Amino acid sequence: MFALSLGSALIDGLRDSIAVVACVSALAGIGLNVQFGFAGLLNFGHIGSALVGAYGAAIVVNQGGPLWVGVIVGVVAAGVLGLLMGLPTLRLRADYLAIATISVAEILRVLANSARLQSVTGGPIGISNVADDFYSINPIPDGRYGWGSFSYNHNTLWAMLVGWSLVALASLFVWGLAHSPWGRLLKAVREDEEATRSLGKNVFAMKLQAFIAGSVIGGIAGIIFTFDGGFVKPDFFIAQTTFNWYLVVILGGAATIIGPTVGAIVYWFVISVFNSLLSQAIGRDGWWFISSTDVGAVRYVLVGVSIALLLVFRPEGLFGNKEEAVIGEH
Amino acid sequence: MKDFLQILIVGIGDGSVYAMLGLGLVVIFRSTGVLNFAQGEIAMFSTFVVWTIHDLGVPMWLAVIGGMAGGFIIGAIIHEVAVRPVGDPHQKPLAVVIVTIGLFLGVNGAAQLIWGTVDRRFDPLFGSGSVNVAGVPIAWQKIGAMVVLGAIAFLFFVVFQKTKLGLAMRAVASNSESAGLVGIPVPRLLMLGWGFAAAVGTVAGVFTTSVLGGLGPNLMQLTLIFGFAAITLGGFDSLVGAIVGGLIVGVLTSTLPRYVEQFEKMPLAPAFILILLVLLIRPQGLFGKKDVTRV
Repeated sequence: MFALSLGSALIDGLRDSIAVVACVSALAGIGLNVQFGFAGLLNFGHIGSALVGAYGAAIVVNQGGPLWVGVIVGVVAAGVLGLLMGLPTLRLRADYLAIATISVAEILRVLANSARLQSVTGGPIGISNVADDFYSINPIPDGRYGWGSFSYNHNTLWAMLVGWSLVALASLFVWGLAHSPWGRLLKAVREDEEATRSLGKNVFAMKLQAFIAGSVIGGIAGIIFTFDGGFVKPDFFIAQTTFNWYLVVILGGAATIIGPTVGAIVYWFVISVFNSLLSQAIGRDGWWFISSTDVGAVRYVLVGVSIALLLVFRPEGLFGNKEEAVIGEH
Repeated sequence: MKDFLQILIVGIGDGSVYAMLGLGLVVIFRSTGVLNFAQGEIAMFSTFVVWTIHDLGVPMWLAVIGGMAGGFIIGAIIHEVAVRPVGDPHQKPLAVVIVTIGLFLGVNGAAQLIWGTVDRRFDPLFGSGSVNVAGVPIAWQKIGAMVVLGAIAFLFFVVFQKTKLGLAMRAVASNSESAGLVGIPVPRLLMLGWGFAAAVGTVAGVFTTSVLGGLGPNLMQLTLIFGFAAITLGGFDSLVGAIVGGLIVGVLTSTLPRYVEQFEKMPLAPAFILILLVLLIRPQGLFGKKDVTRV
């Protein structure tokens, strides 16, 4: 039998559940939740918003622009992408929207990867060293903070601080939206479009606004992701990541305020504990039919199976309301 | 001119593959109203089954048939264990579509676990040779794709239009509730539909390997986008549309990058622009029924 250390796996899990990766997922999930949870829009190209945000910021910083301009360019670019994606597609049925959005995201990734734009996007290699300005405004004095396994250097702590503050701000923003007349109208659109339209409301405009808002939040997730790692490359922005974010949203509960954040924390905790246990079990020699290079594949299976199980047994997620669940019964 | 003809043939050959994948998507969409995002991944998985059987020393054509049978079983099982328990797709369309992305990830991960991430060599079904027709070299592989597409289309026509099974499947597609009331075993037919779709997907997967030059877990991810473009153009619920749409997408994505500088090395771009244009101008596609809501 293997000597599995549950303790170290749990510590890995806790570390990842508060790390920047988790707050990037939380932010992306919050954005997706505005589109999918509140407005019922099936956006399968959410990673495209993150890509545009990340590259927008990275390109500006790389060309020598100041950090704040980069951030604004990234955010605006994500908003414009939402507008451009939404305008032609939001009038269509859910599955058409899904096809169109996943194609947009793939096109963007192929564009970023293409040799013709290499001078701007860096092609397959991407752009590196984009985080220097971000860390140079770090007010936290150099050093290590924390206890034992939970100690971070000043830069990681700074990225976490900014990231989780943005998660809190975005959640507050969504809370405000959801409890405003605008949010109530948006839910009405989701529940019964025809009825809402017959009351004289502009359904299309509502959907478009929700789509742009979600895209902007997704763009911010991309920007944080870029500054945390210090570089971008097209390989980060694959369609699978969008699907992971769906799990994050559904797990926490679609159309809730804290759902995506809790979903992201739980997601990274479970993934990380699982990875850790698996790596220990596999060791260097492999275990059963799983070898050490397969840890990523196991995660895919885990995420895929979780999505299916959640939708069969608990479509409202951890915190969702069954009455309101966009994927539940109407 | 010779150059153009050659590119055209390549386009038709590639388009045949998109059409095959599109046929699988349409079969599932017609019967269940679900757009199966896992169609490409299931095809990739069963192509690995073909590879495994062939690797045991079985001749290729037999391995393909074995893979199709395997694909059929995989499709049927997926419907039974993952799709059907979620509920009626007409009631909960979003839930079922999201389950198909769960399947996308799960099947991809399973293939990585079983066969690894290193690309496998996969000999083209019809060899790598070509034949000269009026001075234009045409790869046997492309001719094979067209012939096989023709055979599949004929088979589908016979099954759907001439057999009792096809009649029942059409009844389920047109109104599953009424079909159930007259005694048609709806769930079993849906299961068959998923099986057929996966079997056709196997063939699409086998042909895609020769375009990409190898077999890996990401085999079908771009092809799926082209398949989507094909059925968007042809109409989600039209088998004829999938074939015509697939061929048009194939020709566009091979000729435009060659002759229009802006599309150079970017076959995905015309496919995507086509999707957007069709959605804007004629959302039901060329052959689809007009119940697509545009609000």
